[in-house]
Amino acid sequence: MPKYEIGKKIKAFREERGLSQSKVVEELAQLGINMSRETLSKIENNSRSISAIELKAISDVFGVDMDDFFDEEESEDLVTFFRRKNYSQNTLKEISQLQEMVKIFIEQEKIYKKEKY
Amino acid sequence: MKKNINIPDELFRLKIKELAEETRIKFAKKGLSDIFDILSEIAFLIRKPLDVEGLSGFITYYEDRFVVYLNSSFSLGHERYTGAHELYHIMYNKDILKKEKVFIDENKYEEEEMKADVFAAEFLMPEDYVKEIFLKTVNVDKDNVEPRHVIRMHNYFKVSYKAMLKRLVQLNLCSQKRYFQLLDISTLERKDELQSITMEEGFNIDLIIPSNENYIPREYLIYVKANYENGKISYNEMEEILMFIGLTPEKLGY
Repeated sequence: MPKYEIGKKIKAFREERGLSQSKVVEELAQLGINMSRETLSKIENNSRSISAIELKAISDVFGVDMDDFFDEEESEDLVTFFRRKNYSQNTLKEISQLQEMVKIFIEQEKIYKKEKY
Repeated sequence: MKKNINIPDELFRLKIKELAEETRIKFAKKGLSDIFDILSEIAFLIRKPLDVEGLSGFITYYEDRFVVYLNSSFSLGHERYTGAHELYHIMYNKDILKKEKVFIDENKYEEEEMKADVFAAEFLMPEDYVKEIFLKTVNVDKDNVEPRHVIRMHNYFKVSYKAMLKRLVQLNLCSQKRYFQLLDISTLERKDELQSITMEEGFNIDLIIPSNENYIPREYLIYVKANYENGKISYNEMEEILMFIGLTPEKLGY
């Protein structure tokens, strides 16, 4: 993802969680990162770059991996969606098995239809 | 216990009622009326018991199709309600689903989640029919509704005790004051009592216990069987695939 997309992604994660910019700034302060609401706004609008330390703190506030800010494209991975919503490791494992099951059955359908037509 | 029954605005409900009726007619034309049959028709339906922290179910758009997952470790009545909720998302949120891929976030699409809940009630418990069945099988004043009356009704509509009770209040067949008294029996602590009244009323307890069902659309079983018989997959592969849904090749006659 190009660098200028990171701001957009931060904004999307924040809105998904129903957090205000002020609330995020407050939580960042608790992690020892002093950032003003105006600065966060600039970052979200891509008019200020973000440092690696700041990005790490923001990913902690949202409960996501830093990698999630750099997705090349929309992921088809169900586990990724659930991870973004802060589900536990146990849930992620179960979701991953469900996903595997769906994939396998869809594959069987493909094999069957190729055979038939 | 929460002292708020949370009944939706009447005009809002009537709009969603129209959508539920439209959907019901659409599937009735094909001869489909059961929520699980309907979901199987339009999505890859999975019913599987999973220990996933209060997750009743979810819907996702995956590999160009809708996948609905329902957690069958919830009671059957609850599971059917979740199914009808997901049906709303498939029917009326296609675009959002294709873009977002999955509906699990309550905050972002709060209004759609609320609509899906109202839809589920309208779909599974049609207003006129609830009134008709209430008159035929209960017919008491709204302050005199008892647990056994709710039990009769919820078994008729194959929903949970709680969903039926809420619907009776919404349709003014049961008073709000009675709601909180009647709700108490549906708590986990009093489940034995609810089960015993259910049996006294002549019903089995299927709706108030988990089905723990393992289900995938039947056509996928046909594909797996045909692929094995046509030599496209090995016996071991078939065995592994079937294991996902608690089946064995022996059970399918191999």
